[in-house]
Amino acid sequence: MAEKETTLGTLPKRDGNSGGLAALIKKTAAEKMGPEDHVLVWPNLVYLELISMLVITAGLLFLSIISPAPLEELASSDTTPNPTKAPWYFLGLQELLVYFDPWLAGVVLPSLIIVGLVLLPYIDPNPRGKGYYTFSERKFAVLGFSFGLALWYILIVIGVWFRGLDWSWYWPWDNWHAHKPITGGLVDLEVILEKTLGLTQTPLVTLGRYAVTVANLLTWVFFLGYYAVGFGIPFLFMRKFYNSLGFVRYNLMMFLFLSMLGVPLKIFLRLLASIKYVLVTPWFKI
Amino acid sequence: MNDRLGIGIFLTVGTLLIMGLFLGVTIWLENAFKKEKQKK
Repeated sequence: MAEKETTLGTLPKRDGNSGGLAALIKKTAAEKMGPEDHVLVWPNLVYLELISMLVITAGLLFLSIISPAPLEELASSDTTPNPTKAPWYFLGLQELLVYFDPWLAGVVLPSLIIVGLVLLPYIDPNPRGKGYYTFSERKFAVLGFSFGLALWYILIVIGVWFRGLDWSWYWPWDNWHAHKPITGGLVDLEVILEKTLGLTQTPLVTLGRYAVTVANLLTWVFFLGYYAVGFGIPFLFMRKFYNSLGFVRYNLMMFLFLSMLGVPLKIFLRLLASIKYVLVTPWFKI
Repeated sequence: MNDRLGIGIFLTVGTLLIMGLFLGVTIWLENAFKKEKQKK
């Protein structure tokens, strides 16, 4: 192939539409296969996309006709709606506020979700499942992602259909116009530890506003222990998995995965063990 | 407490059902494409 000198270096001679750039791209295994294994983007894919677009547009039009979504009346400070609900796609986040501090439910968790999704293509070096559907070749990836997505959707379902006056839980058969008695009885983990183990409330150390008691220290052990065990088990017993990812990818992936699992875990601790916060500091509560 | 237990069960069953839906569709698509390939 004849070459010509450019300011960018040596480029192959122009060949048709790509201006010679096509010759620079390294051919992948898929491209090396014969043309009989391929279908063309145009018209095969583009036609399908056009048809899908038309069908979905028609569906949306039909939905908007049978189920109108009018704006509510003008907001008034005299009549605050009870409950005040966010748009449906934010109700999962609003539901998380029941179980987490606002800075966690409103800032940290959504940021982790977005950062995690952005990082996903870089964390995952496995080429399997590219361009085709597979569960058998990507069990962990598919299960993990499905779990996170399902959790997101079930929280939205709860926010839309199961939260009524005062954000209390209402089953479909409950009277949705009567207020429910506020159920208390939630206790922080450190208080439970203090009572059950008979620990002293005298602080071991005082760091400014933060009085660290023995029970408080134990809650740190539980919290950090959760991550330590989570990071440790695959590292110790699934070395192949660790090696396939490498140090940085493994730590990023495990941090995101354990944080995701931590969300339902914290919810269950509250629902079933009446634990309000696992870890309490003057600055944040988890 | 019973209400909280009910919410816990609802949350678990709901999450598993939605997960099952996603997995079911993925497995169905995987098999459908495999069969199509075998026919060729």
